[in-house]
Amino acid sequence: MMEIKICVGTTCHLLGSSSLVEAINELPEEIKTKITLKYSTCFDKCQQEMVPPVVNIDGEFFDDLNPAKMKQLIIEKAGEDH
Amino acid sequence: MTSAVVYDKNLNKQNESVCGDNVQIKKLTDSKIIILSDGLGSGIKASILSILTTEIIGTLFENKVPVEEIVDTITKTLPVCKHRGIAYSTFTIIQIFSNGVVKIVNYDNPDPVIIKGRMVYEPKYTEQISNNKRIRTAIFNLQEDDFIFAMSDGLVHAGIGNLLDFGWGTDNLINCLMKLKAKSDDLKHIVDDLIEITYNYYEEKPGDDSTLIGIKITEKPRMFVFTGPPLEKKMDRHYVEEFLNQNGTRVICGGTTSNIVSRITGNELEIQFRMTRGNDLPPYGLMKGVDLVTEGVLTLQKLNKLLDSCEKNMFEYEVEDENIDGAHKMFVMLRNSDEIDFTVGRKVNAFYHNPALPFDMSIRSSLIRDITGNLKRLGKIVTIQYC
Repeated sequence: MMEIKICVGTTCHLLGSSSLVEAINELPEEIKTKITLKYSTCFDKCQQEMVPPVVNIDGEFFDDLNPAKMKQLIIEKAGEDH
Repeated sequence: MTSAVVYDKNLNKQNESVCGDNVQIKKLTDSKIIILSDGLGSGIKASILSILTTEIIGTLFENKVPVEEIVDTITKTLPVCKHRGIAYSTFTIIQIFSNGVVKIVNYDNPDPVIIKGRMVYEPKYTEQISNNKRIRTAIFNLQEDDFIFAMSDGLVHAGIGNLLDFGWGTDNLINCLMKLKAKSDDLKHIVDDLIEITYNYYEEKPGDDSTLIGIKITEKPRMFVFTGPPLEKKMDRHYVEEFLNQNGTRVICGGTTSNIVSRITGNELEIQFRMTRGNDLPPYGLMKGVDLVTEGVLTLQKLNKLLDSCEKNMFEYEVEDENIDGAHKMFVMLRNSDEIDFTVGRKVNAFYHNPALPFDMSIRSSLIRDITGNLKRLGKIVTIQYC
């Protein structure tokens, strides 16, 4: 299973984290069933270190995401697992 | 600590632009009092009589004057009606003490309906004659989520001479109240529905001013809001422990603040897995020992807009039961509280100054100031501590 934590803190929310949830919903069913989705409050990464919205996938942080980038990232990650 | 959430609604007698009934609510140090008065006749004259009555009672109560003296004062002070030669207004006083004791003093209004759990409770009244007036008094205990409904006689007489020969009557009204309460425990729904039914029995032409006061007993009249990280990190534990030891409804407003509480207590935050519609606000969450965890600045901003829209009381804004966001949830909690204590952290989130954001986010303290102003205007007692 792939664990995805999406930050829903103020800045990530303002910079589009909710659209990332929709991106996950649009993924093919076989990938969706392998995902555990969680929401998180601030990862404390956005203060100069990373650009919101920030997402954590299996312990690794990714930033500056949009729906297209997010989908691509998950598909790549799911491919690595196979 | 016991107190009550109070919501009242009235109908004016047809063709009258003011109501001859009046309601006053007062918060004293050891109790909350709710006073209803029905002035003789209708229109302005009745309105003045009833306002005078509630004002006099409220002020004398604050000064701990015994009820007999209050009744005496009222009968001697009210202006006398030119036509009937009497000074007259009825009143009901309901006093809810912080230890759960409730005292009702009733003069000539219908006896309030009391609902304990799911049953109608009929307290024992003692009667005394004061200045030829029969005053009924009852003292009893109530618990959280018990209800009292106080009313003027216009409600009981609805339909008299028209739809119903002798009016609606107390028994039918109680049955109706019980049915409404079985459907929903929401104070506003019950009161609004009963007033609407009264209006219909009057065939939309009320023959008398009609007022219904709904009172719901609460054990959590205080609310504590912790928003924003403390300026000094070493003080985090102190403020978190202070917050969690408070007796009342506890709300955390802010992601970083909730992270701090979570880190110190070891209790994890569970975010409700449901984005609010339109993505207006981020989702809210729950944590052990805390009643609600919301996002910070955006939620406070929306909350302040909701408060702005209320002119006299917080029931003016209709909150739908389902699918409500963090701001609405907080609004309802505030509505149910008498006193609100804010603990406001002064640490500024550096990213909030980022030009990528649609507006300046470093406005927590000014938002709290606006919210506080609104809450005070709407009858709440508010304190703020900055940390």
